Amino acid sequence: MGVPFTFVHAADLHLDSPFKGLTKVPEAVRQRLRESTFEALRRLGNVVKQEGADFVVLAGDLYDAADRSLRAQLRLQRMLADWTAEGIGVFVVHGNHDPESGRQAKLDWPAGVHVFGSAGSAAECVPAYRRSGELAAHVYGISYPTAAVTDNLAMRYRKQEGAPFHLALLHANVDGDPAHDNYAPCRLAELAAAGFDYWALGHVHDRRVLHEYPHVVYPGNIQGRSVRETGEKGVYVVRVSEAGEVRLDFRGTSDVLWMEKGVSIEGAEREQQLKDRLLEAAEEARHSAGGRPVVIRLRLEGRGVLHDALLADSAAEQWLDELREWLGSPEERDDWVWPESLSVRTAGAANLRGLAAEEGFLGEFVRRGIRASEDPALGRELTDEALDVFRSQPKIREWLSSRSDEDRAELIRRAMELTASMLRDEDAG
Amino acid sequence: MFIRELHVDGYGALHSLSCSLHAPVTVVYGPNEAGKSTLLRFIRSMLYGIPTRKDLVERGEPVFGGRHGGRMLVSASGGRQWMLERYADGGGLRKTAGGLIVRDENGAELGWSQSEWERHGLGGVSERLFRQLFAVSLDELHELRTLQGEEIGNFLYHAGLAGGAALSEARKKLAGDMDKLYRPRGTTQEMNRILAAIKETEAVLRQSRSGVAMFLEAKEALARTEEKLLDLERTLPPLIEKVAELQGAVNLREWWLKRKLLLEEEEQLVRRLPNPQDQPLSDEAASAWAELQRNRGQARERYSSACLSVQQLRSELDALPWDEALLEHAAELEKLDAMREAVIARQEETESVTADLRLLEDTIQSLLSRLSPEWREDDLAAFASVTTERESLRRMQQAWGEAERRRERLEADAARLQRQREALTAEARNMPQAAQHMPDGTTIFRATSRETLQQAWNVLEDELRRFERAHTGGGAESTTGSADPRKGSSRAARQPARKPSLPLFAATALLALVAIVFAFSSNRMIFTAAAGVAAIFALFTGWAAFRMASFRRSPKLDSTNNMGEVLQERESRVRECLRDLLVNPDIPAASLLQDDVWKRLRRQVQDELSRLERREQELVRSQELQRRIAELDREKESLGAEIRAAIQRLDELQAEWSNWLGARKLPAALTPDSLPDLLNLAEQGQTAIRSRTRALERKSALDELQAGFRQSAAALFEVCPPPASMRTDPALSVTWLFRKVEEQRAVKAEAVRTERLLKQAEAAVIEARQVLDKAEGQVLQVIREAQAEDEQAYEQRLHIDERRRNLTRERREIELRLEAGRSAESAAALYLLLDSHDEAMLTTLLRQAEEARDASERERTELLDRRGRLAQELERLQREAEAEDRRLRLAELESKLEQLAERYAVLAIADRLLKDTKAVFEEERQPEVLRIASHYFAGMSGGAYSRIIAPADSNAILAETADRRLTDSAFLSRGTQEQLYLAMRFALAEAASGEIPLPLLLDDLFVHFDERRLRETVSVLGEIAQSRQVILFTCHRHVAEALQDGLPAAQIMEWAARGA
Repeated sequence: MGVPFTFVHAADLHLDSPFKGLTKVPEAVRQRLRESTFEALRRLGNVVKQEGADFVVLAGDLYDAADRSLRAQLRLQRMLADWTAEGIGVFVVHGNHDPESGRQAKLDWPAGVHVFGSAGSAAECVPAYRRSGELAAHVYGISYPTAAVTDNLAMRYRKQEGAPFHLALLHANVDGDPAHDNYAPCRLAELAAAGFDYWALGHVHDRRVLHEYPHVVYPGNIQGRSVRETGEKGVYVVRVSEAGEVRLDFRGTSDVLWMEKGVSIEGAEREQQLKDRLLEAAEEARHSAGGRPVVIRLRLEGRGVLHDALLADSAAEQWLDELREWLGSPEERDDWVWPESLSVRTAGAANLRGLAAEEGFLGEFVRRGIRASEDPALGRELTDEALDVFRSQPKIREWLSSRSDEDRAELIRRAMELTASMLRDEDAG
Repeated sequence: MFIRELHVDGYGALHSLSCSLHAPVTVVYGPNEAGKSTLLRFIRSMLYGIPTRKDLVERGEPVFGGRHGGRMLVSASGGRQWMLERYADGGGLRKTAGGLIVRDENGAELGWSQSEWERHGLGGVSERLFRQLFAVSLDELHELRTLQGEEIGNFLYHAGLAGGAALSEARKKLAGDMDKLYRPRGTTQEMNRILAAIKETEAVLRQSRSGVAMFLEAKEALARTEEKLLDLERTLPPLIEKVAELQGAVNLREWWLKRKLLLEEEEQLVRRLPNPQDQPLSDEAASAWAELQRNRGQARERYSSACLSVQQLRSELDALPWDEALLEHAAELEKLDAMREAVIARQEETESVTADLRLLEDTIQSLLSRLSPEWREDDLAAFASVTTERESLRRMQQAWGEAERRRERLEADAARLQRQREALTAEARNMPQAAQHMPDGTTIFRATSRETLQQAWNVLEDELRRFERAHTGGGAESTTGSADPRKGSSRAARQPARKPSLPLFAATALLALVAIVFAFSSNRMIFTAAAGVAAIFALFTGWAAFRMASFRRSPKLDSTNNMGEVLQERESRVRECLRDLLVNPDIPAASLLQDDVWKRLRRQVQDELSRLERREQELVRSQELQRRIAELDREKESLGAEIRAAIQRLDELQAEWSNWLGARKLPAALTPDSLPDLLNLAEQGQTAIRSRTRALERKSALDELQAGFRQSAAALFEVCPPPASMRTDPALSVTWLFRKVEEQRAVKAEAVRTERLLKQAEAAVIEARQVLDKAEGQVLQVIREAQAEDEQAYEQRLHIDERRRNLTRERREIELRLEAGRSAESAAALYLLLDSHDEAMLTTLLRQAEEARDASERERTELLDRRGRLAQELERLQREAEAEDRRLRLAELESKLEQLAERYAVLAIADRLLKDTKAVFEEERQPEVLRIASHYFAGMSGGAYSRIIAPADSNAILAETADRRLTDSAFLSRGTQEQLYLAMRFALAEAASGEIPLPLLLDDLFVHFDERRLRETVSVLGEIAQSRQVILFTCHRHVAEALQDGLPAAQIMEWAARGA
């Protein structure tokens, strides 16, 4: 049969990616985050060397933007040159974030790096060798010519006999994951049936193994970039035995961890209690990060008496500022915890559903709100109407249109909580 | 809520009014000014507080007294009862905390605030709403038309939500919060600011140059530059070499030419030699030749100089003659010459001694004449013992001086004594006058001396004391009682009944006082004394009279007769004493007991005593003076005797002196004071005589010495005569001759020495001749050896050979210079180059090569420069790329924007939902209110109108008749209008206070209703009264009656007019 070999499967490097959802960031945090994708790249390099990989496949989105930054190009070029100098082959496809059509000029790829083109009716096929020189596999791939590719690229992959192992490199959304842009849509069944031994995928940032034998694998990105990308991120080290057995080992590469934690206000009577709980959550996060810095989003949840106070204008922001102060400056320690935001998802002592059952204005109000939050069409209509004032602001319009139905429902729920709190306040006073 | 009882303590025209309400409908009927409207206001005030002074009508200050305020009992659902209590002085004003006291049915205070009361008791209906809907008069009824705005809308449709105020408040707050975040075309709002910042950052990002492209360009340019540099590195070295070669040729060309010239010259020299093949003679040959020549020259010179010196010495010897005769007497001359100096010195000494002698003679003569005209030299010599005389003379002089001084001192003493005596005499003259000042015979006292007076006075004092004791003892028995006479008198003065002769006493006292005053104002002592006595008399008289009387009157005195005897005895004793004391003792003893009299008398006595003392002192002094004058006189006499003795002594001394002078033939006029001078002169004279004797001896010795010298010299001059001019002075001649002998002796010595030298010189001449011959032989031998024709030819050959050697050396040097550092081939190439090109050609070639090289080097420098710049550029780009974080900041801004957008969205959605809900509420709820209102309106109008319509898009209220005609309420008749509004009120009141039905208070609203409509309205009221209390106020009997007819259960309260 074939020869045993090892390769590293990484995707979505998003080098030099700006980070989402950060405000009022102190310089130490900004610096660390800015370097974090590169640091993750460095760790990837270490993995490649330590694991003795024969070659590396990078499944798209190496850069964060079509306008690849010079810094990102220089750093990647240096890393790739490092690998190729040791005889490690590199195979690359471009994804939606770094399509071939990028306006920005590009540096040359170091010799020994193969970048698959986008042209042609069929995926290009190139041989991959072990470091010792034996043929290990055929590698196939197609790059994105432009950012938005809506064709099913998987259809263009054709297996070419002559190698013990067939590895397909593809940046695509398998089975239409709604959390990601639906580029190069394809079906898992199609992939599984295409005759390749390993589909090295990119695009989805959560690592997942969709299928085994043939393996269909998303390794996820190498460094979380926003609070939506929490937890450890990294790459897969894939070992293929002589008999064609495939073993996957995950290796973490994150330099900074993103986390989201819920903190309940239930039973908290005084602000000191809430403070204690917030600090506890933050310290827990610090502990779990193993010495790495953490960017954390704290979600206040539950039903409690502090709800009304938290709903007040900019109360959440004040709490956030306080929390940052309590945790100490990131300038002073390496394993800092930076609370990225504090989202208030609490509910008042009274149940909205309970209110909805009541007669009167508030009852009617809550009933309407709940109707809108449960019916996506109604919710969409309500939010669009309410935010019609932004029709001349493309930035906000874009943000609004990218809100999912759940997001909108959440906004409506918060609006209801706020209103109920205000009307009740008045009522009580 | 149901109002059960009203207790008005004082409110407007009402006071101390209590009434209880029990029926659902209560009618208060009464004429104008019965207090109906006041009661309405009272109820409002009870519920919402007493208005402040700003609204005096509503406030209802009590007109007829009573405490401003009152109580009200209300019942609520569930059978609860509350007693409300408000007083203006208890802080029960509207809009103030406190003042309201709410008690429950057990009388316990609930401690509610106004707002709590409104919530619990009034169902959240505000005062404003209450006034508009529940406590209605005609004025308010018509207001409905104007209550179409947002607020009344809220009131109308959203009752149940705290009167809708919370809704307005919430929407206002939402709008405010939203405005803070974002406004279209705003600039300062948070989101607007961030949007602007994002726009700016994006613009900057777009404009920033494409970093990667620049990086690539720079890299490419760098590679090209490197390549060109490599090319240049290859081509540059040969160019430099070529330039160096040509440069060398140009630089060395001069030397090359020189070498050529040297070669040619060498050839010419060789041709001039007789035997060109001969190798040049060595350097040593030339120097050896020179040495030979020099030796020969020196030998020649030495020989000729030796000959010359022989000749010279010979001529010198010839010129040296000497006198042999003179030399033979040399020893004698020497001796004389040695004496000569001494002889000259003796001669000078002789002259000075002679001069001294003359001088001494003169001195002696002058001294003699000064001492005494009669003296000769032997006299002076006889005055030999001057020193012994001197002592006796000194003693005499001293005695004289002492006598003189004694006399002077005595005379001075005499003068002093005289002065003292004069002073004392003058004092003594003044003395008797002072003593006479004291009057002697004017005193009132008998005693003339101090002691007697003092004694007399003391006796009087004792007696008087005894008398007084006896006197007072009559009253108080005690002999040791107080002796104070004042006490007695004051006691007497205090007993006016016992003063029958007071006028008498007063008259005498007055007299005494006048006398005393007069006495005090006077200065004169005598008069004072007299006046004092007079005064004392007067006082005594008065006092005695009074005293006698009092004695007579005193029963005590009368009863003690023996006491009176003692007294009288005592008195007579006193009187005796007085007699002893005074010249004129006419004073009653008893009067002495009186204080003033006694005091005066005592003072008089004391004055007299001191006067007497003074006089005694004066007397003592005068006697003392007399004694001292006598003493002085005695002293003066003894002094006179002493003076006389002194004068005598002086005369004796004068005689002694004159004797002494005579004995020594001295002028008698001499005083002893001039004696020291005289003695000195005598001494000097004796000294001069001694000196003269010594000088004469010395002179004779000297003359002898000189005579000896002259004889010896004369003997010598016979043999060797000195020049004639000197013959007179043997000393000078001796000197001259001696010098001559010395000269001759030197000449002879010189001649001997010269002869010896001459012999040596003749030997040297012979030796020099031999040396010269040898040198000439050597020269000839050298010439022969070199095969030269003669000396000159040999010298020429030597010359040419030296030149040849020099040329060869120079040529070698040049060749070394040309070929140094070159291989044989390159040296050959150089010679070839120089041979085949002239200077101009070489220069041109060099210039061309240099230009080529310079161009290449410039290019290289430029390329290096560019390489540096490019490398820097690359580094800069890389560095900038590393530092680039605008995208990061942009992301941050976007994040912030999203956060704010989210917040805004929540607010906007809340607002939108509120708005929507409100719209729905209005639409869905209005018909309900209107339905009820329509029902009431139909009832009131007796079915004439069936419906009230309020279109959502207009403010109008329309009435629909039974036959479905629509009329705007503005066009209805007044009565119908009011019925319509009233119906609306009823409906709204129901909507606004569904949970807690508040009572309706209607103030005479039916005045425009016709009889039928009134009846219908009453039945509508009956319907309403089923769910809430109705209180009506009217001044119209027909209204009251209609109500009574229509609602038999109604309670009618008929009030009379107040205050009229």
